[in-house]
Amino acid sequence: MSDRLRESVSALLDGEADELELRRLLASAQQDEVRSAWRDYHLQRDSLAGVDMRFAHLDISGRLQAALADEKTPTVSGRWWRPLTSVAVAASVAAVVAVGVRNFNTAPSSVVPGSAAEVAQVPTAAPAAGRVYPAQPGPTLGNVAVSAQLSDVPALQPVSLNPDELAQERLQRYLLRHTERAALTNGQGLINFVRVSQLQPE
Amino acid sequence: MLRPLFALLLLVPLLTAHAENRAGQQAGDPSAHKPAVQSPDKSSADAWLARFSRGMAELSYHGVLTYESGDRLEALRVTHGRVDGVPFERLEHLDGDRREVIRRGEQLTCIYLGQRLSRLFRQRAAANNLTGLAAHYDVRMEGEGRVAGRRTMGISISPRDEYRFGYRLALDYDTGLLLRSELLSADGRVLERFQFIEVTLGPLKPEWVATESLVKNAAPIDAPAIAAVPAGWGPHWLPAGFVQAQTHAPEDVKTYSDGLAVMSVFVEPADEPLPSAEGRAQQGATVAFTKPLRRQDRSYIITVMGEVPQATAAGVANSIDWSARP
Repeated sequence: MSDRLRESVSALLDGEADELELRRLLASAQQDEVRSAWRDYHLQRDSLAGVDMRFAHLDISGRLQAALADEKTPTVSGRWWRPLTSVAVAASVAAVVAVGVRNFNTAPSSVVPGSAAEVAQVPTAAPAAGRVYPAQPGPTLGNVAVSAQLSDVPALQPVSLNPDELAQERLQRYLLRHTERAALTNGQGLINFVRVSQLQPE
Repeated sequence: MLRPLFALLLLVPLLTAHAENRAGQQAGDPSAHKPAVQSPDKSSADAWLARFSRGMAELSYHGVLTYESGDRLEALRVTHGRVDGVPFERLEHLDGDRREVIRRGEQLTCIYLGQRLSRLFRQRAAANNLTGLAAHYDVRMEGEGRVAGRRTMGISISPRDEYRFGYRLALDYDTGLLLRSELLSADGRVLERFQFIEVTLGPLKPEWVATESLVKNAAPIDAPAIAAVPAGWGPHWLPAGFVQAQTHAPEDVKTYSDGLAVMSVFVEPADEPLPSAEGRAQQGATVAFTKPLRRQDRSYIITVMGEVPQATAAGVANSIDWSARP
């Protein structure tokens, strides 16, 4: 794994990664190493911060990936039209997290505050645009911190999609017509055309 | 964004009637165009909307405004008024690619990178469903403020259900001109914002309306061909208050409005194999929901687009077929 990738992982951990670095990480052929570095950095930091490490051995990322892989791919992506994070993805992530926490709770040594139901409610938050801030683990590796971190997963998903140029073109063409009709519907209103960022004649 | 403004033009008859009922003859008096002298009714939200919508049709202004949506910020120059008695509007993008939209009467011209797309912009009597506005929105006065160096009155327009967005407006205190408009999601986030930075009210200067050579020098391009779609389709479900806004249009699109929010439904024949199932997309405050539909061994792509919540677009798209009576 290159130093550059390692630096990008570190930047992501610190909330300093820009979109380009994030794309590079996601597109990297060395996914296993990226993940392992991501995990190692977290463990190092938590260890330095004196964080409770009792649950550090638990890794539910595999099951999360499987849940995400079962999701349908949105048809639309690209520069102008941004695909929306599917609520179904967030819900299935929540389900995986809830299962994970239940496993925590049945382990004899675990003392986890909160319940699975609480966790399941968390990951429906909309992804923030622009810079990517991974969730910071709380003072304990309790279930809330875990779920907050996982809630970022669906937000990252669209980055790896291939843009569907045809759908983009169609939406842009519709936008011009929708805008014209909206303006007509409402009496007048050229200013509506602010929304149309480009013309799409065929 | 400014859509509420144009939507509100439709409110003129209704709101004027309201204002007259509440404030006697004063608000309805045609001579009330000199606001400072006549001091029109400024005591109710309805009266403010009435002044605002009446003013929007008549006011002559020129200014620079910003449009914000997500991480997008654009500056535009706007000119609005009459030239030789004909309605004139011009919208110039000041950032990025050169593009402009110009309207003279019914003639609408979009200019983009030296190309022009001409359209007819025909004014029509809109379906008047607006008497129900109060049933779907709560309209309130929010107190005074200041935008573009001018005194304003704030108006909030909150939806009464989850099928539409809310609006927060700042109207010029003297003229009712819309100086700032925000579109708000259910949780109060600003989805898009338009705001004047500077505006001049009064007669238009010749250089603001000199567009002939600009239009003439742009290369004409043809409007897209519209694919034939069997007639008779429509939604089984629309949120309360939404009615079809225009009926003369080609059969591949229908537009619905509750007086403020507008959404359009597009039906387009699709080649096999169909693009993968459902898609949702968003650009600024405009959402699009796309889904495939089979009918008599043909495939179609249904798209609902508008400044409405995703759930509304999805609900309408999922209710489209050829047996619907909206």
